[in-house]
Amino acid sequence: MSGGAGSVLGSFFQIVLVGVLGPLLVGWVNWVRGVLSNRKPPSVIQPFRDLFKLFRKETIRPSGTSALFGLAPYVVFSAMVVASLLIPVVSTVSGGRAMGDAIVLVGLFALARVFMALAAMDTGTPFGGMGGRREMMVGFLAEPATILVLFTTYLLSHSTMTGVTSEVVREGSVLPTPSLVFGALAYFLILLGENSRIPIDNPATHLELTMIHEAMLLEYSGRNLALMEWGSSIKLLLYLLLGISFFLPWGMSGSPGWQGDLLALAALGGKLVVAGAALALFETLMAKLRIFRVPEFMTLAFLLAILGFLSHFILEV
Amino acid sequence: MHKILLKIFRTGNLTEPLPVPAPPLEKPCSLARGSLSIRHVDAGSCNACELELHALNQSIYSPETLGIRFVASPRHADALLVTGPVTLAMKEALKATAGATPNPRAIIAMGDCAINGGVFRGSYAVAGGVAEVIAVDGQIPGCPPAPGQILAFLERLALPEPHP
Amino acid sequence: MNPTEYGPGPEPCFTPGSPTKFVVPCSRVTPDSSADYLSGVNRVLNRGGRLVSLWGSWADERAPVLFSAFSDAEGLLLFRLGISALERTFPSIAFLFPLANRLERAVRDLYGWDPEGLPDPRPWLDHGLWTRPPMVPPGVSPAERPVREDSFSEDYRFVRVEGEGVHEIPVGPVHAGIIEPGHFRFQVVGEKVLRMEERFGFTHKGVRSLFRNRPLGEAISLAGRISGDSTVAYQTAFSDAVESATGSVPPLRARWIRSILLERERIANHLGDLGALGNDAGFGFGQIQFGRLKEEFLRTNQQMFGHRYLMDAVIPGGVFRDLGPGEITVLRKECSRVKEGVLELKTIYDEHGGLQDRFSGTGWLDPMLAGRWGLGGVVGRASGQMYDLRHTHPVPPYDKVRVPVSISRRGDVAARVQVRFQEIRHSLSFLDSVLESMPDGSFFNPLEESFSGSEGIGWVEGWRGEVLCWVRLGTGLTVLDAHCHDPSWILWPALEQTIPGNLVADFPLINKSFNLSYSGHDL
Repeated sequence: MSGGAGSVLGSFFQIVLVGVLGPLLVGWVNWVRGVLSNRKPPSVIQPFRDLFKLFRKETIRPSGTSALFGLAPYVVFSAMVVASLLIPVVSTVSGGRAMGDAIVLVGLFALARVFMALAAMDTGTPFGGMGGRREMMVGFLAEPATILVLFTTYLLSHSTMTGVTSEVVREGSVLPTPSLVFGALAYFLILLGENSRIPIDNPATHLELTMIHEAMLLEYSGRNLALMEWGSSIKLLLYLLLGISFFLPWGMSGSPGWQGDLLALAALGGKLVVAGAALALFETLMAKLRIFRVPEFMTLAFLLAILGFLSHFILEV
Repeated sequence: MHKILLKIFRTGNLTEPLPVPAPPLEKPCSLARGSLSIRHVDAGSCNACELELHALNQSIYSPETLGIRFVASPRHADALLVTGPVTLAMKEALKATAGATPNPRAIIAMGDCAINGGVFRGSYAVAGGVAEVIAVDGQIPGCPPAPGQILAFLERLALPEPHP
Repeated sequence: MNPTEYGPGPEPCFTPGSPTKFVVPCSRVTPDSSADYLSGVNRVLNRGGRLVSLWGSWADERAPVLFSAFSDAEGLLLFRLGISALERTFPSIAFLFPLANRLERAVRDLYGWDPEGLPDPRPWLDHGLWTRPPMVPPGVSPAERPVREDSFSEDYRFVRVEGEGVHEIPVGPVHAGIIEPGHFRFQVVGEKVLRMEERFGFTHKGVRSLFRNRPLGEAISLAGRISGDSTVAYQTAFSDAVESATGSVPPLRARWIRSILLERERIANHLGDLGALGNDAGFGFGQIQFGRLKEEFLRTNQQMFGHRYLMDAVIPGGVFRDLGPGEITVLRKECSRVKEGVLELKTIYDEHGGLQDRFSGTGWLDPMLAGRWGLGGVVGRASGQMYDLRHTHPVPPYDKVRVPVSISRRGDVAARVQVRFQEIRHSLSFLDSVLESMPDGSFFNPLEESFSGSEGIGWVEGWRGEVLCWVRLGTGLTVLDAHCHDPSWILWPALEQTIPGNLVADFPLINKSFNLSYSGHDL
């Protein structure tokens, strides 16, 4: 199915689905973290309550900021919404096939990152500048690794379209190929870095000098803050979805039709539950890296990506 | 790593049941239900109130179940929790922080010092309570107030009765 | 609240020229002139003494006095220098003891007296909010006070570093977490700190003025709330000071209970610190486990002594409440439980690679500097300095039940973590021994009558370091003046020396490993 009202409707549902699953995923990760912290965890729908509240709060624009500051939340959120259409969520025959170019995806994430960093620097506060600087450092190191992982998957599927790659992996053997394993490991590290999770950044930290992601959000309030937080949760979800579609695509629907989509949705739900719990467990056991180790961490991701790339040629061709 | 997991497993759920909520506030606040972001401001306290706030965030009390969390920026906050008798040196900082908090918001004075200056009342260097500097919406008495008392008050704030 | 049967008593023990009747050997020196003072202090330095505190006072409306306290091998040495009411200057000893710098600036701010030879003209506690020096008694005209344009917070002249790529990061006074206010100014290149400077005074509550002409019951309550996390140390030191001023002796059982309270305060704070250090390194598990241990500990405090942080448990004359045999059993059981729990957590901390990576090599305080400056407390001991009052000048029961000094020579954050672990272990063993062998007797002795002008000193090893309290009493057990010294005065400058060369993102961890008091410092 490649055109017409059906695909528009399908795209709309995909956007809504991603918009709802994003905060739900964050709620789930926090729930598991709460249980692993030996406490009664917050409700899984707590992020929704927080977002509803933020949308109803006054939006303050700090003095000294320019139009960029007010624009950035919308740019970031829109970039995430567009990106959600480029990734196969439940089926590989949706837009992910026709227009889901992985390189464009990387570009969209970069757009969001740059705007966030610029807006943070726009505030003129030292923490905004510090957060923006660190975020760009992580991004600048993560991008080559990401591109290399994408090249590896390209070699498998001979296409940069996410939908096509997903299908190829799904059709292939269940036993993982070495290049995919290395790529998956590299991708996991990249996911942690790009989404400001432990060990790169502590999403729950209260130490302003150690913050990366949070430092860029310090001056936002009300609606702007809601969009930024929502956008960040969608970004985490999209990274997971991309990883699942590349490395764990079994269960996705390969043909048009809503029955297949519903089954795939159920399978996706299961995968996200496991992935979220694994992320929470990882964060509970690890400590945060010292900031000058972050480049080492991303270099490790790059190295794994290269290994995956090379092992394709050495072992699989 | 297995030691950590084993310890987590053996420790189990530490959270105690929520205390009885504090009596309703005199002037009800129009804060949202189920989501309360708090920014703490130390206006010159002796640090005992801060220790109790740290204790409040432990697993035994677990305020996140009520949707309560402590945030880093006043712009993210719904309520300001102020401790200390408000020293003159912190007066402007407190006003600026309150000004940066978007509406709807509540200002809460925590501890005897924040309510009326406590043992420091009358000193040349203190304003003598948060109410002397900005309007206060609620008070939590104690020197320092125990986490159970703080939680009871916040419970009331996070789950307000609907008003007409 | 307090029993108030006080009867007449003997002469005051703190008379000029005679040693104070005090549990720690203390001698007093009264120099006749500035030159005398300087040569005396020089002698102290040459004999290896270290600075403990420095403060001013008005003995009566016409006689300003400068006190400085030093510690040498024998005990405490108190210099009492009269200041001319006309000239109102005193010689600065900052060139001999660099740590006196801030103390003298604080005296200058509060009293308007000018330290001769002090190189640092900047105010310290003064934020430009006072019209006259606040500690000058009413009716005395303040000295001609030079208007310092850099009093205001915004105009404070921080030392800047010039150069390519250097920028300045101001942090505070309001911090992102739940912590006291203070200002830190970093000069950084990228992530590396070239220089860090502190500015405090934000929690200055005018405590010195609140002590003036205060009934003892209120004064002891105030003393316990200068630094809420060290309330037992302060109230013990204050009580010791009042007791030495009146020549009273608390019963032995009271001293033993005081030591129990002091060690419990130490353990509670160390537990909290170890959890927070894990949390600040991103390892939340530590926070949860230590937090649980600490919460149970605090609840026992509430149950046994009526207050989670043991405020108002120590009073001049003894303690507020006795311990029954049932309570002693409960406390002993708790000690063994906590000991087990802490040992388990120590293994986890030691074996966690990520955590040790954050702790090792971060925030190194040069043991040579620590030695030169005579730093005590947890920070000093973690940089190899053997200063611990419980060991060098033991007060009962520390003379019977010895506490080993916990030291480490490494001087980094990991060393401070290790020292805390060791101190918890030693304190728990101490508690167990003390609880097992409590002497009988009463828990309170009424105080002797006080005479106008009698002075006393108390010196206690609090959990951060040495707390010193000095009081001057009037008749009827009124406090005429009192000074409580927090060890943070000595240790905050050490933090400034530790930070350069570290990453700015490691600052919270290093600061937490020191865990110094803002409120105790600011008075």
